[in-house]
Amino acid sequence: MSRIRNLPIQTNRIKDNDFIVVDRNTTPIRLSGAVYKIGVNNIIYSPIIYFLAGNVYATTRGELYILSDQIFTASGVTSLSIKTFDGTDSSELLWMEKVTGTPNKIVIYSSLGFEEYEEGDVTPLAVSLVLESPFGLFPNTSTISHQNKSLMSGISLLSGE
Amino acid sequence: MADTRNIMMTPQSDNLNMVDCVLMENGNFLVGSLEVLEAYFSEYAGTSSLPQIYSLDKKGGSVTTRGQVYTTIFNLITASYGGVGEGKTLYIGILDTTLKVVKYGIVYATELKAVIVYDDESTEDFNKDDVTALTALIISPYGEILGTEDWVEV
Repeated sequence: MSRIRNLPIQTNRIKDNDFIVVDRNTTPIRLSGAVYKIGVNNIIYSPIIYFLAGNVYATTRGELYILSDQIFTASGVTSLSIKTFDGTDSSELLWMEKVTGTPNKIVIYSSLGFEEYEEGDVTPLAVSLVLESPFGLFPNTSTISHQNKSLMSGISLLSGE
Repeated sequence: MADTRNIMMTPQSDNLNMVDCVLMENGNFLVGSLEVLEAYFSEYAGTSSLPQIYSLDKKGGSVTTRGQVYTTIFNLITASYGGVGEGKTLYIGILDTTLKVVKYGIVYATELKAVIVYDDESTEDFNKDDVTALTALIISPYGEILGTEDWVEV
C-alpha cells in the first residue's frame, strides 16, 4: 500500500498513451489509456434496455404499452426519444408519446409513419420487443427491470478498436 | 526504469473485458472489476436527460412553417456556438405532426438556410423566410442544448 501511496507523481487524468495493467482471470494484461477510456465511456453512456420484468420481452401490443407506461410514469413525462430492441437489432431513434383516453395508448413515430399501442390489446407483436434509451437510464426509472446494453451477452460495446 | 520495463513486457489487449480488475488505493488496496464499476456508474452516473422541445427562441411549442424551422435551428446553433457555419452542428429531431413522421439528424445553419443530414443519410434544406406550412416539433433528444438554459417555456 505504501509503495502506491508514496509514489511521487499522481494524476487525475488518464492519457491515451498511458498503460494500465489489469488482472484478467489472474493474467496481467496491458491496456492503453485510450482503450480503457473508450471502454469505460461505453459503459457509462451505454443505452439501457428496459424489460417488462426480469428479462421478459413484450409479446403483445398491450404489453409494449405497459412497458412504455412504466417508463413514462416513473420519469414523469409523456413523450420520449426512444428505440425498440428485438434482442439483436435496435430500431432507428423514434418518438414516443402517451395519449390518455379510452383506451389509453402510446403512439410511436418513426421515419416511415406511426403505430399506436393500446392498453389491453392482446394482438401479438410481429417480433417480441423491449425499449432502449438513447443512453443511460431515464430519470427515476432504476426500479424498472433494465440492463446496460454494453453488458448484454453477445452485444459488446467494449472494444477499443 | 525496471518497473516500466516490466509493464512494457506485459501482453497487450485492445479491448476491455468485464472480468478485468484494476488495483486501486485509497487508504487501503481495493480491487475493482468492470462489473463493479458498472454497478457504480448505473447508480451514480449515466442518467439520460429527457428530450427538450424548442420553437423559435423558446422551450416547448411547435413551429408552423419551414421558415420557422430554420429560425429555430439558427437560434439553437447561435445559442450553443455563438454563431452559425458548417462546422457548428447539433443533433436534433423533427416530428412532422401532419405527416406523423419523425426523423433525426445532424444540422448546421448558414445565414440563409439550415441543412439537416438525417440518420438515413438523406438531406433536407429549410430556407429562411420560407412560409410553406409545416407543423412540427423540433426535438433535442439528449436534453437541453447548451446555451439555452435561460430560454423561457412557451
